[in-house]
Parts: sequence; C-alpha cells; structure tokens
Amino acid sequence: MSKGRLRGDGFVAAIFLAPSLIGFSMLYLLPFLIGLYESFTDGTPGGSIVGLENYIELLRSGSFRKAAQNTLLFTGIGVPILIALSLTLAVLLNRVLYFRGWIRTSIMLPLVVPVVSVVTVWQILFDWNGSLNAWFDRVGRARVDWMQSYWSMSIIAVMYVWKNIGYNMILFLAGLQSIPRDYYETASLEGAGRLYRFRHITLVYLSPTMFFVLLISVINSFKVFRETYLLAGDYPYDRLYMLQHYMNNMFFSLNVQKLTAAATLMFGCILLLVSGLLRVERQFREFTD
Amino acid sequence: MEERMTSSRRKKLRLLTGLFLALLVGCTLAGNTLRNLALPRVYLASAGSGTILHPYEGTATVMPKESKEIVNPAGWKVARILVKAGDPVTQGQPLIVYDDSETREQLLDMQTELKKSTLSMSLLQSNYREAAISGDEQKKENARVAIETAKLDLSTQQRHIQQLEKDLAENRQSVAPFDGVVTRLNAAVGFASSGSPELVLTDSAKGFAIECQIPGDVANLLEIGEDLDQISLIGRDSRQLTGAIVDIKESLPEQVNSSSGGNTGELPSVLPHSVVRIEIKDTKLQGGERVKIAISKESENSMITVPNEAIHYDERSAYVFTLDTDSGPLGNAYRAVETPVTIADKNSFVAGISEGLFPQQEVILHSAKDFLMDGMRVRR
Amino acid sequence: MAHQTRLSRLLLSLALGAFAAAMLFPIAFTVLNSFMTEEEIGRNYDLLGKMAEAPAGGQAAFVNLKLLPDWLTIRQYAQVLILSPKFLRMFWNSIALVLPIVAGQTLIGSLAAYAFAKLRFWGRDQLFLVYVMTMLMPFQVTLVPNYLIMDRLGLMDHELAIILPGIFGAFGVFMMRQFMSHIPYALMEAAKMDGAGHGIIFARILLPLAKPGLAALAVLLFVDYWNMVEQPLIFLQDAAKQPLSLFLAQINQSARGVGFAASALYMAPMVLLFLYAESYFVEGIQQSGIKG
Repeated sequence: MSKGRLRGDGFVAAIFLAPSLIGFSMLYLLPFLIGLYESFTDGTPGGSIVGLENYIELLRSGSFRKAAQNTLLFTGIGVPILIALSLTLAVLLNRVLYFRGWIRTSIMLPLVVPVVSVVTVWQILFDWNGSLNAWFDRVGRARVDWMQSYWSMSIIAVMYVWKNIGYNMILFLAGLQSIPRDYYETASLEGAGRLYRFRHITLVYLSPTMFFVLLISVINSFKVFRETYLLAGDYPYDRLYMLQHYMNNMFFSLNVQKLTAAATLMFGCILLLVSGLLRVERQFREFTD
Repeated sequence: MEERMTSSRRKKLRLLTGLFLALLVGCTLAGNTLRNLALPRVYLASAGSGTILHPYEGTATVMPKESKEIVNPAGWKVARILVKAGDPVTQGQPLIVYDDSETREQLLDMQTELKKSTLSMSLLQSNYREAAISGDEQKKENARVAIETAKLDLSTQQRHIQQLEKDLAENRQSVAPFDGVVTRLNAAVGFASSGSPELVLTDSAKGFAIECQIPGDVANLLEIGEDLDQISLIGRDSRQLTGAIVDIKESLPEQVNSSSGGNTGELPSVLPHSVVRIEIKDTKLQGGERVKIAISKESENSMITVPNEAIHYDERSAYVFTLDTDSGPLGNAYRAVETPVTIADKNSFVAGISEGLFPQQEVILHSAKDFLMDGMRVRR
Repeated sequence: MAHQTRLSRLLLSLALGAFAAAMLFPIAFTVLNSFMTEEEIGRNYDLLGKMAEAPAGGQAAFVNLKLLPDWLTIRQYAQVLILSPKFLRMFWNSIALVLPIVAGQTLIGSLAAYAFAKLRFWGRDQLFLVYVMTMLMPFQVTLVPNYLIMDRLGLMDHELAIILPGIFGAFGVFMMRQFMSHIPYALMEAAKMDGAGHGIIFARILLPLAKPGLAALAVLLFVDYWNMVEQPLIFLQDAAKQPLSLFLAQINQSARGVGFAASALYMAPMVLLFLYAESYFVEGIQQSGIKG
C-alpha cells in the first residue's frame, strides 16, 4: 500500500467518523469512564475517592470470585470446544458431498433462531423430568438433575455450540477455500501425512481466520448469559453463576460500586486477551508473509 | 461458493415472506389487537387497609369564659375615662369617673333646706315654750304637733342628704370588681349611657374558651374532657396553647343537596356539623385573639380504604368498580364489575369500607371513558 | 479430493445430514408442537419443572417428547394472532425497535468503517481497538452508567433508550471495516482519477461492493436485537412498549401451548430473512473473516 494515498486523510476521516464517534462516545465511552470513576469512589452522594477499596472488597467477595471463575471456565473451555468442533465440521463440509447446501443451511439456521423461541425445547430436554433423563431411565441409569448439578455448564455449552457452530463453520470454510490446493498437493508429493498437512498447512493458513473466530466466539460466549438467565433465572445453580449474573444482581440491589469495579476488572481481562491475540496474530502474519 | 440460490427459490421466499407479513397485518387489523386499543382504559388503585384519618383545621376567636358588664349606676354623664379597651386592670382600680356636679348641687340645696328646717325648728320650739307659758292647752298642742312634724321633715331631709352623700361617694366612679381585662368600652365623655353597659370586663382568672364548627365525622370522634394541643395563636406571637373540650353540641343538620344522585362521586353530607366548645387555660390571653385549631383523629378500627374517587352512588347505595380478570395465556381480558360496598367511615380523601372488598383488591379509580357500566370490557 | 470414493462420500453425507437434522431439531420441534392441541401439550409436558420424586415403587414419570402431534390444530395460532390483544402489538413493537437499529447501525457503521479501512489518520488503530473492546463487553458492563445517562436524558421507558445504543453499537463498525479492507484500492484509485471525492467513492463504489457485508451485518444485527431480553427488561418498564422477546420470556413459563405458536411466529421472520439473504450473508461473513 502506498503511503501517499493514505496520508492527510484526517479531515475526511473525521467527517466519516463523526456520527459514529459522537454516539459511541456518548453511549459507550462516557458510560465506561463514569463506571471507571465510580469504581474508585464510595457509594455516598458526594462520592469521595476510596482508591482500590472496592476492588479489594470485590476480590474478597465469594460470589464475585465464583462468578469470575465460572465465566473464565466457560469461556476457557467453551470457546476451544466450539472452535474445534466448527473446524472439524468445516473440514468435513469442504469436500464434495451430497446435499451439501442443505446441510450447511441447516447448521447455520440456529444462528438466527431467537433464544426465547427455543428455551422451552431446552427445558423439555434437560429438565429433571425431561427427555434426556427419560432416555437415561430407559437404559437403566439414574437420572441427573442437569441444570442443578456439575453438568449444568455442559448443558449451557451445548446450547452455545448449537447456536454458534454455524457462524464459525462458515468463517472456517472461507478460510479453507482460500488455501491454495497445490500446497496440499506439494505436501502430499513430499510424503506428508494427513495430520502433518492439517497442522502445517491448514492451521497455519487459517490463523487469520482463527483470530476473527476467536473474537466472535468470545463475544458470543458472553451472550450465553441470556440462555442461562431464561432457563435458570437470577440465581442459577452455582456452576452457572456468571459475571453477568453477578453484575445484573448488583444492579438490581443498587450496589453500583461493586458492579463498576467488576465491570472494570472484566474490561481489563478482555483487554489483556485482545492485546495478546493481536500480538500473536501479528507474529503469525509476519511468519506467513 | 457455489450459487445455490436459484431465482425461483428466491421468488418463493419472497412470496412466503409477503404472505407472512400480510397474515400479521391482517390479524393486527382484524383481531383483538386494535379492538383492545379501543377499549376504555382504566386506572386502578388497590384497596388499602388502615385507619381513616379525620383531620380538621379551622380558626376561632378566643372568648373569655366569664365577663362582667359594668353599667353606669346612677345614669350620670361620664366625666373621665381612665382605661382603654384591652387594658388589664386589678381589683379596685377606678375605671370611669362620672360627672357628679348635679348631685352635689342637689346636696347643697338639701343642706340649705336642712339648715332652714333647723332654723324654723327653733322658731317652733320658742312658739311651744310661749304656749306652755300661756297655758293655752290648745296652742300648746298645736305647737307640739308642729314640732313633731318638723322633726319628721328634718329626719327625712337628713336621710336624703345621707343618701346623696353616699351616692356621691359610691357613684362618682366605677371600679374594677376583679382582676381582668377591659374588652369593650362603650362610654364616651360627656354622655350618659343609655342602658347599655359602659364597659365589659373579662375575668382572666376564670379562663377562656373557643367555639368552632367541626364536621360531623371529626366531631363524632371527640369526647368531652378530651385534651387538644394543636391550638396555636395566629399572629406575631404564635404560641402553642392547650385546651380541653367542654361541650359538643350538634347544630341543626344543614340543607342536604338532595339532587346529588348519580355517579358524581360526591358524598351527600350526612353528618351535620357540631359546635364544639373548647376551654383554654392561659393567663396571658385577653380574649379576642384568633387561634388556629388542628384536630386529627383516627377511626378506632382499621378497615379497608378506597379513594373517594373510586366510589360511586346511586339512589340507594354506594358501589365501586372492581376488575374481573379472564386470564388467558396471552394476556388477560378485563371487565369492570359493579361491587356494592358499605361505607363505614370516610374523610375527604378516602372512604373506609366495612363490607364488599378485601384488602389489596384492585378497584377502578377512573376510566378514560366518561362512564362505566357493569360488565363493560376495559383495558388497563 | 478426487480419490474419495462414492461410498465414503455417501457415508459422510449421511453422517453430516444426521448432524444437520440434530441441529434442526429444536426448530422443527417448536414448529411442529405449535400445531398440537393444548390438551396434548398438557399431557406431554406437564411434568416440566416439577421436582417431585417418583412415587415410591412406581414408575418414574417423565415428559413425553413428541415431535408429531396426534391432532393438528391451528387453535394456538388463532389464540396468538387473533384473540390475544398483546402478541401482535408487541410484535410490531419489536419491529419498531429493531428496524431503526439495523438501519442506523449499518449506515453509521459503514461510514466509520470506511474511515477505518480506507483512510489513514492519527490514532486509527488505537481507536479501532477501543471499538473492538467495546464490542466485546457484555451489556452489563456499562449498565449503571448507561442507566444514569438515559435517566439524565429523560429516555427511561422510552424506545430511544434501546434504539440509540443499538444504532451506535461497535459491531457494525468492526464488521464493515473487516469487510471493506478486502476491497482493493485499485477500484478507488480509478474513481479518484476521474475526480471523485471520498463521498462519491464511498457511496458509488464501496457500498455497492460491500453489499454482501451489509447484508450479513443486517441479518446478524437483526437477529441479535430481535433477540434482546436484558436491555428492554431494564430500560422499558412500560408493558405497552416492550418487545416480543420479553413477552415470550414470560409466556414460556406459564402457557406452553401458545408458547410454541408464539415462538414459531417469532422465529419466522428471522428464518425467512436468513433464507432469503443466505448467499449474501455467507459471502459477507466469509469476506469479513478471512483476514484480520
């Protein structure tokens, strides 16, 4: 890219950015900064600065630690599972198949189905008296209270995968199709095995896509809160108590300080994650270029 | 990407989408969605429970409990007035000095008359002595009678004089018979009062009283002997006073507006006002001050309360509209139901219901439409 | 992969077909059950949420998962569409909330994306990172300050309290920037030679080329905001303004029969939209994701 073309666009850029930037700073940036400030004050109307007190109190609070742990656990396990599954699916779908279009459409369809529309289905499947337990009973196993046990997070993970696998699969499919065929052919000729080809060609050339998929998957892993909320309410089983539950409940109990401190911490974690990802991605790009 | 989307499929989808939208629009127009919007909207309040507060606030004038009218005893003209209205006086203090010159003149005349009589007496005595010397029995007798007569005259005159002297001493001025305050002064210098009292003196030791007209609902909850402490003076010195009720008299029922039937929501005032007399003990009062009285009584038992606004009246009874809910899975249908109620108590804001409602039951406060009827469908 | 035999292709197709069917199951289940009679639904699913232990010695009782109804009925639909005064009103409420958001965010997002993708200015990448960060934040992070701001603006209980943050969401900027950075400069260059300004380049060249991206974004936004539950729950207390998602969130617990019908109707616009725009959608998503 030639630099001359891009230099001195500041004014034009400002015009193009203005509408978005005004609203964005009013409705996102400013609230965030207010929140940041609030997290360092005590709850009194005057609001004197108390430093890190809110954070210390927050980190001492058991429910916050539990919520943070659960969120981390869910994102940490759910996202890799989702990516692995959708990558597998993409690799499989990237072959010549019968009904390929139909299969692809079916897998993508859950993406557009509103959560509230299918909550009942999940309920019927995973309730104490639900179908899954009915099948368990039929094969002679004791039933499990899915939503009230250690299993609950897996159930939520199933919903998460169900909803998001299509999106990731599409992204990976595009990534796969952008890899030149002859890379594989050359590798085959040189006697590389399937696994070798997958690791050293597919994964490497998918890495930019991977970055994007990872971002989207993380966003969507936060959105799973809605399913949990609709299925289990404000105070779900311990394992399902996510940061969003925590913040939601802090909001309704008007505990602004804890909420904003939690929000800031969450922001910090996501910032770390994103900058880490960016660094890795840049290195990869240099490597592939 | 292979192009799977043939134009015929796209056309089909477009048709399907169109049909779907048409179905929704049609149902919106034909179904209950719009019809429901046309229903009168009602505003609800839930029946509370508690006691009913009967507040009263009014003003009254402090009246002395006992006062004495000082009249001009002799009908003399007023010479000097020593006090003003509002002056506190002590027992024995002179109040008005009267013009006694006429009586004094009369006294002088009488005294002169007496002197004359005394002189003529000595003449009569010398006459008698002469007659006695002359031995003329007849003459002697005449002279004796004359002396006796003159003696009687003399004593009469003396009594007159004494009377006048006493009058002069007593009626020259009026004095305060007790400690008190001059509340009214009618006397004017140079005139004799014509029958009406020259001044009115209140007896501060006996205390003061106020009288006020209190609505029946509040008055019914008052008792004789009850202490009231929400009395305050109006004016610069807004002191707090205390008083006790000494008398409650029902005044004649007011003319009740009998044409106030229908759904106006106005309560026909059934209870007449009462005149309540309250005694105030306060030595600094003089009488005539304006005071503000606030009374706030709670009904004895707790009952279900409904805003007056929600209560309607017909010829015979009171009723409210409650809400009948047909709960369907997709939101509820509501109907206004006429529910007769018995009003046990009420003040100007709420009415206490003794029968017909249960606590927290929702009643219709008012509706967007002018009137409601039993069974009418509404929306909330 | 030419060496693939017909048999293995068939087997793989069948396996993936089965998987696809499993993916479709919740959707198909909802749609099919919406034609079930109330009585049958009660019979099948009444045990949901009841924690009672199985009677001693007796058979444990379970809900009866049933895909095909015994009797077909459209009563539930009649209930929802004609008898209920609320459903359609809330449906239009949803539309009225979502359409401005989709239109606004797509437009404003594209404008900003143009600046991020095709212009160079000081702090561009840092600013873009801020947008990305915001996009990643769950809604709850800025809940309190947002609440305060809406309160200050007097927008509580007003549709704008939902619409405004929607319009200025960062996702549109992110997605369109990703998409636009693949559009070659050469095309812009040609237009520039002809003397076109940035406005014309954006409107005449970039936007038409970004059509798949716009379609994908619109669909994604539509789905996302059609789905929202938490925002209206907090910002729209007035029942007359609430969108359908809240209605469904409440209905699912009480009346399952009409719940299925309402759910099916609720997902229908999304499914139709998706099927209609699928090829654009797929292309848009793919192009936005190929390179970071």
